[in-house]
Amino acid sequence: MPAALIVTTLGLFLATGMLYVSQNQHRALLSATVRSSGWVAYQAQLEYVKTQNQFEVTTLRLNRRSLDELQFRLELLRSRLPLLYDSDEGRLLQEVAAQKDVLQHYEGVLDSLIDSLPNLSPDAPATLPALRSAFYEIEPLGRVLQRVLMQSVAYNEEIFRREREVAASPAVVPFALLFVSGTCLVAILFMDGRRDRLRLAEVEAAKSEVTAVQDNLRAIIEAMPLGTIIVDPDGDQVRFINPSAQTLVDPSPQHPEWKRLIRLAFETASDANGRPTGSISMAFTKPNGEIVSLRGMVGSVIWEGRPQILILLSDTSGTRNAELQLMQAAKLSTLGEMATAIAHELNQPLAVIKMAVANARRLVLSEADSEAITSKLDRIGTQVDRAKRITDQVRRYARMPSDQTASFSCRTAVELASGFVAEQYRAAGIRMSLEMDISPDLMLSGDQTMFEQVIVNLLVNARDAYDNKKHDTSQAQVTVRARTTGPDVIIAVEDGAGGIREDVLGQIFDAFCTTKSADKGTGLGLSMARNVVRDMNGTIVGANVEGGACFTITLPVGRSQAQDVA
Amino acid sequence: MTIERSILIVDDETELAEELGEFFVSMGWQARVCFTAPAAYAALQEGLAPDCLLTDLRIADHDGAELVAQVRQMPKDLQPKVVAIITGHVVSETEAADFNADYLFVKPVDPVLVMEVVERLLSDATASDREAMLRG
Repeated sequence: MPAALIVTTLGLFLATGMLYVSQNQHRALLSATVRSSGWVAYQAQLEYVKTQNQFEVTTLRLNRRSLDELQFRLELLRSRLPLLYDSDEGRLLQEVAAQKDVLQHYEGVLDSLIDSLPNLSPDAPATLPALRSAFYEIEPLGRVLQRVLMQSVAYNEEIFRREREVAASPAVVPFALLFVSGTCLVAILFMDGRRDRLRLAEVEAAKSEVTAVQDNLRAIIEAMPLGTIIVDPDGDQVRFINPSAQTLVDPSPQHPEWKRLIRLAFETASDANGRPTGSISMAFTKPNGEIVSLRGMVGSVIWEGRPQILILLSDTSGTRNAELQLMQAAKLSTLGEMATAIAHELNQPLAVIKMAVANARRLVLSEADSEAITSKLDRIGTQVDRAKRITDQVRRYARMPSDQTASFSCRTAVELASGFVAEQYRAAGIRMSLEMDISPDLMLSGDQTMFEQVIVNLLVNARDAYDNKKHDTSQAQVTVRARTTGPDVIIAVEDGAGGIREDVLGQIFDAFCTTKSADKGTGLGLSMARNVVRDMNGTIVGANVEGGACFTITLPVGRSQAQDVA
Repeated sequence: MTIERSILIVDDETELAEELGEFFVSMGWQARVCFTAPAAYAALQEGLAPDCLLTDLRIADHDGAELVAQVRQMPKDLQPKVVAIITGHVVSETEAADFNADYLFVKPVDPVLVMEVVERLLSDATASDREAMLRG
């Protein structure tokens, strides 16, 4: 529609312009004609009258001078005649053009008269009659010229009338056209304005909607119990913290402790090789000394129009403490199950000590040499150390798990865990084989005791599996394998006790899922194991292999000690 | 003058076995120490015929109970007069019969006590043997 209006307006403007140009040309032609028309007729008539007058004068005062004057007049008149039919007017007016032959006839008359005049003598008696006859000969020319003049005047009057008309209604059509095109222009402008206003209103509405959404989002983020921190990737500068996050460090984003929290979050959210994992599980010491467990994630976000880093943190200290308590309960339960085995193990050094003491006493009473007695005392000392190692292990195992992450040797931890259950295995007649294809320098990151608990749990489960099946213990064997694959370390615990029932295989990592009798298992072991491994950014899977079950733990290798020092 | 008595001690706890053997020797016994069940069984089959067999219940890969059972299958004259078990396991002393043994010592045990018990059991066994002979 506006396009049609624009085309119409342009057309109208063009038409108006052309009309104006044509009127102007018309007006110019008219004035040019007015300037030329009539004038030649008038001049010719005037010359005719002057010539007649000279005839009169010459007949009254016939002398050489008056004759010359007459000749001059005649020549002038002769020169005016062709102008009549050769002028614009002459060509324009039929009546004037029709007189061309008549006028040319008189031109011939005048020419012969002009030629004869010098031959006339003023004194000769024939001169006067000749002049009179010439006078009468050209008299009809006066009437022709009178007619031509009348025609010209009539024509001029017509022209004047038209000119007056043009002057009276000089620009009705252009004005009308201008009015129409002006209206069109106004319409276009109005429609354009209306459309722009509508668009502006839409933009304004969208803008205010966006602002409202942003305000809402901000209000939601502010009210969220989840700690929200937005960090500028340039220089880890904190851009925004919601009230929940403020309780972690300080309400001011400028507080220097934020950098420590952010660095820690970035560290836990990426694995040993700096690959981002996104998820955070860490312990953080607040500036006031309180230690909190934090769970959350790191992601990217567009904030205030720029890509920034979003850190979401949830203070899980409560649940985490409950989880740790549960883990401790599960551990103590395992420890309880192992009590008889531990007592047996402890009884061995005690028995040696008891014997050695009896022998030492005898040596003392028989006054034997001191060397023999010292050797007995040395043996007693060695056995005390052995007993201490056992109690140390128990103490270590019974220690409350913490959320503190540290670097520890994977191999040492697996060996400690296996050592802890070794006596049980011996008691149960199950062979334990360690195939450790890893260096003692290979470090893992997490809580070592909890990781050991995972291995102990798997080993205790394997032992119980043999118990459950009433297996032929002479063939019973559990293999612990450790090896590295790329950036990961893989620890597998495999038994040959017949495997896990297919119907429970899918739920083995669920809490309270157990195949053991109530006095042997709580159903928390594998659930805890999964949590511990997950906290270490690893995975644990259980599967049936030929003749038994195999649990495989995959963990990212932590930084080596050397790197730690650096 | 007492007759020299003999004992075969079997325990994979080498130091314990050694101390116990040393004690019995010091008290005038003939003591033989084995660290594995097969070694002990071989010695018995070779005709060692000790007065007493004292074995641990769990000896490395082998079961002390198995050894006891094997010994019980041997000809009467090759069998030790007294078979006792010494164990670190938490078991009641009345469980000795379950293993077909004459006595069950629980570690840690005073070697003096071990010897007293073994001597008493031996004299009882000798007395019952004599009775049997008289009746026969």
